[in-house]
Amino acid sequence: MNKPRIRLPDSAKVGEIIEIKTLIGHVMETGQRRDPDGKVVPRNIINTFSATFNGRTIFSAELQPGISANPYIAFHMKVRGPGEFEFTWADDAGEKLVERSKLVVA
Amino acid sequence: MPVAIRLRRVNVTAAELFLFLPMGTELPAMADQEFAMTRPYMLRAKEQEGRFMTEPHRARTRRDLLIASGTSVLVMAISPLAAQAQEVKSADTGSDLQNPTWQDAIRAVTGDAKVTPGKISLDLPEIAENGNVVPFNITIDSPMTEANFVRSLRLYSTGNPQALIATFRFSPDSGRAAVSSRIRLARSQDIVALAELGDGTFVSATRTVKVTIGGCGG
Repeated sequence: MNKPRIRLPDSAKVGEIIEIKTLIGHVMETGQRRDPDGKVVPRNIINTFSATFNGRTIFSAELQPGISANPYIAFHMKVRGPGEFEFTWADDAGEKLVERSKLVVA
Repeated sequence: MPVAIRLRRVNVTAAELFLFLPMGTELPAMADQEFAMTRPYMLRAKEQEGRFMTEPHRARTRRDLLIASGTSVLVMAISPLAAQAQEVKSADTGSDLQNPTWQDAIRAVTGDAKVTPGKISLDLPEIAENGNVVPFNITIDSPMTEANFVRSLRLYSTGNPQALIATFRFSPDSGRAAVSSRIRLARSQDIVALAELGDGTFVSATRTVKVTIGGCGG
């Protein structure tokens, strides 16, 4: 799991609905593939993603192997004021990555 | 030096021949130029044929497949109830590999609740050139208030090894019940979006995607 990237608007107004775009590097190994020796390559995908704003969960997702490698997820939020996002990705290998970013409200 | 004599006659350099023939190999005594020229290729083809036949990966895959299909038929015949129980249990974890039928996966989530088509705009390409990365955008028509918002959105595949692709959960803070991402499609198929509304009812939408090169990594 590497290189999380978050795209937020530079600034937002109260009441506005903004789009949050997220991208993270991950192989998303399906568990269906076999290596050249015929052994099944064990599944390792990002199984959960969540986004909170000032501690409140806005959006979450449970992913399955049908999601492409390097998962891109975009969703929306209604702006109620300034604050900080916390994005969390967790994979089958037990790895967890947390990324924070501030939202500027004009 | 019989080899050297033949080489000169068939007009093939020693280096070329040694690429394909083991040291000391003698060409057939009656070899004409054409035969000798094609011989390296014949040898190579034969070698590859041999490798293909004994390729452990390929052979094992096919055997596994036969065994797997045999046992799954048996399991289905013997214990339909056990299979159903397992499917219900694993419905939300999505590990419905035991039961790849997407209708059952959906039924396990909806139960007896009503499912009506509509309210969902499911945006997918009509033709996907690369099944490994198929972008989608889903928007569900909802006011997204505390009293009435879309709780969850599930995306199902009708032609992948696993039916459930993802579960997205919204909140009244979402403002808009919309999500974009990218999915893998093993082959041309229908994609089903199923959204659970605040009142416990479901809405759904279906789109067909033609896939030129399948995803899921074989």
